[in-house]
Amino acid sequence: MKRILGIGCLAGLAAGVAAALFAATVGRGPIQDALALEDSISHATGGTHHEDLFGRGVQEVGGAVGLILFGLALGVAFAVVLAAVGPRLVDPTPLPASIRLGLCGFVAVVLVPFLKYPANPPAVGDPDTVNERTLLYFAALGLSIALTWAVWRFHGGIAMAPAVKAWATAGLYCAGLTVIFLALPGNPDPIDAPADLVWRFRLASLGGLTVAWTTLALVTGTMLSRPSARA
Amino acid sequence: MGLVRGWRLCETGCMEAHALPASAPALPHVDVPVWAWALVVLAAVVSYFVMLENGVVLSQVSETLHEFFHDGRHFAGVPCH
Repeated sequence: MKRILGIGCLAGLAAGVAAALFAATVGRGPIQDALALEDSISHATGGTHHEDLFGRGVQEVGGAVGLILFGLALGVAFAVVLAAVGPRLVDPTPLPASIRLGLCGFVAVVLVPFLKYPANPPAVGDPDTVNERTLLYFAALGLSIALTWAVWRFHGGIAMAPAVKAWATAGLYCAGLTVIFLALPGNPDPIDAPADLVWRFRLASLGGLTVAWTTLALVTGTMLSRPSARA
Repeated sequence: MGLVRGWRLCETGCMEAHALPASAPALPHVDVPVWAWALVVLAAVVSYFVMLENGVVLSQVSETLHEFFHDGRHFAGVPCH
């Protein structure tokens, strides 16, 4: 258990660093454009520009630190779930198990919440609705994880012909997703920024998270595959 | 010892599955201790403070945290002001 946790920490740090590098290269342009837009809007409307707590340099470093910390936390959680679930997968050898869990985790934790509430660049977002949006985002994340867990339990706990079970499992997941997407309200904020800028940012964000999860799954699986002195 | 499926060309040129000896043994069945799940909760709490705190739990400090991690938050796709 301690070995897999140690590996999870390292893989999580690697994932965080990969995401931070992606953010610093691909994500930087859209964020700067969005901040410039934000400034031009507040000048045009004659609003007093709120005093920034930190300069851009500090925020870029802080963003990288945040992503690395987030990666570390993700790595720990990934390792514990892999230890619990991995031995029960179709192929319980470390790399295939890690890749499968990584793929499921990415869809449940990143992709489904992203499809319901896509990431927005700095110029978008009303400070007055941030708590509401945080709550909605949490709800989408929690329901997505709960649905994945429920479908996994269904698949493991029911006796059916394999082909029927595969269709039933996929159908259950799709039905659950439909309910989640219909039940949750849309993002309350209007999006005034140009669609081009918003989508460049969204794709950079999704790309960075894909890089992070890929790194996490591959590093965890590869490191676990190496023979260890302690079993 | 688990088996890894692989592919190779057979003599007639078709693809056939064959079994390679696995380089790594299967993940062992372990009882995940409670402290490990506690770590997952801790990781979730850390993620919350890094990524989602907007003043619900910490009112004053949160703005500093929020602004410091600002770029990372946007990039990770969590809601932001």
